[in-house]
Amino acid sequence: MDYMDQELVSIPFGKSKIDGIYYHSTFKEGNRADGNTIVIHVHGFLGNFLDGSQRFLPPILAEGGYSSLAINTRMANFGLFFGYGILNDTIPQIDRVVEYAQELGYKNVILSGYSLGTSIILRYASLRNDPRKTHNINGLITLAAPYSMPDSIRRRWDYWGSEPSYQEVFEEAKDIIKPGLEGTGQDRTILIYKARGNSYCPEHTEIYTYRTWWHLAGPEAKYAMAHKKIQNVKVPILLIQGWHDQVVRHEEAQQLAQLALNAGNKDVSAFYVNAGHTFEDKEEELGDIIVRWLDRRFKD
Amino acid sequence: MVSRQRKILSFPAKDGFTVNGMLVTGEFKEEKDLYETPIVLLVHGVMGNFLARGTPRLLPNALEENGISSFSINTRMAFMGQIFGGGIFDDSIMDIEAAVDRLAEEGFRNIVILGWSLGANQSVYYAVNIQHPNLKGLILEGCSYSLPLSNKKRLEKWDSIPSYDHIYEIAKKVLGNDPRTSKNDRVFIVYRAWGPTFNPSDVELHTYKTWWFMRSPEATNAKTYEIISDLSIPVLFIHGENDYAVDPDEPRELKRILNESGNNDVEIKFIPDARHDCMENPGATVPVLIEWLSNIS
Repeated sequence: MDYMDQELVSIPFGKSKIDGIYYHSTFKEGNRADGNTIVIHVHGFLGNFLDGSQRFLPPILAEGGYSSLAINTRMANFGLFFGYGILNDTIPQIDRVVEYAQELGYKNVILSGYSLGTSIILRYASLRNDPRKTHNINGLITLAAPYSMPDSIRRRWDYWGSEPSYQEVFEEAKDIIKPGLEGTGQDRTILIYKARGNSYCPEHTEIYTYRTWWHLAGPEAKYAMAHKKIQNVKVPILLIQGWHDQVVRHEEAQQLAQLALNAGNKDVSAFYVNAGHTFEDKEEELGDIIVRWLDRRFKD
Repeated sequence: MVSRQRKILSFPAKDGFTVNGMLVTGEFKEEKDLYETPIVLLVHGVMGNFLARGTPRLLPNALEENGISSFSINTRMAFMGQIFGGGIFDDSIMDIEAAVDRLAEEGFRNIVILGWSLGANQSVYYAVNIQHPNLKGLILEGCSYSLPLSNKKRLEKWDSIPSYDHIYEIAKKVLGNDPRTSKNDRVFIVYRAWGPTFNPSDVELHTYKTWWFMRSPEATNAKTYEIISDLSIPVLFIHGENDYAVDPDEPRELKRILNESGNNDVEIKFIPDARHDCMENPGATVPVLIEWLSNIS
């Protein structure tokens, strides 16, 4: 592709690294190349930078003149299965990636999240909402954002009659991890059958540890409740939602937008696409919406 | 001058599965040098990927510093393949086949596969089934004598819950008479599979079907000792002296089988101060690889 360079990057982060793919837009036609703006893409449930919107959006945005950085957080892949995929622990990782983008010379840093990734970026933006601080971001894009991750998961499990039930997992989790006494509890990997459909097949099964479940899906997982976080977001927000999404109800985007507007954010947009949760077959349309939204706000 | 490359490639296996790979090549004076110099096709271990710690992550750069290109792939066994049912051991050779074909189409004439751990057993199964003229040798790192036997020994060592034999009994019931075509499958957890606790770090996850073809007594193609005698290309075993996962006698026994079958181009090198991952000691590992690769053409 002659409108972008693509490079695998490992961003130093303490004693470890954050992996990502940097897509540097080189598109020049009609003064398209913005050069100052980069979109950081955060994956969904069990996702990574080789999957879904993290993979298909960057080339589309690059053609529109916008660079991208698609990253793996600690919740990528099987972070939820082995105990280290704790939502709030992604915040320092995002801090580092934002810093890295600024080190690359980008003045406008936009965070984009897909599904679970929207919980991460909304939590982040609600914390880093002071433009005088270093980790300043300039916009948020949410794709298929659940109004509240715990509510969304509970509703789905109840619908399919999950085994064990949401309430049973909640009771067991309290016993095992002893919330409030962090460090003294145990942890254990658990399977939830019939969590995503009416069978015991692998595709209908979810896997967590009690601790990762507690912080993402439990009734006290406040950091994963988008409706509480979006009210503290001060930067422009673009919400995009599929009409036929089986995971996130279409009205959730409107409700989130309304909350942000009510809280005083004057730049909130919501778009609907004739698509399901993964935006399959609507990739170009999704990319076009984002490019136009970016053009209006960040084009030089 | 051919410039340095570091790029992600995606291509389909013949059943449509998308293989992702990372190509790392250095600078070469001429295009023919790039294509004549051996290229190492790296295949990851259990639930690994081309960025997993150890050999997958470290070796491409180390090879590039020594003028050797590499292509690290994610097969269907990568990430959660074995957990959600797509990671069928026998099918994974289609991914290696697609990668070898891709390299050959690009023009690489001297391809060597380096399989690490599970990847070593996959690589043997590939190479005894598909003889590509551009495939010039195998490097087998931390290669188990038999994946089913390794699993059984480990689960018995830690007194797993459920036990190996119990999993086998349940798997037969779930999968029925024809595990290959069975529509019935289920994810299961083995507690105390890697250590003595119930902590997530000691847990193993499979579906019955993925376990059946990789770990069960019926996983014929993962019993490397039963198939390796058909391998006629050069083989280098590298093995950490302190490997806790695969006993050093296992590659020795595989070498013996190869020699008895008439393949005398087989070497085995033990890497000091390394466990299951030889790149714990790159200073010892990389020169061994470079020297062996210098004889490949």
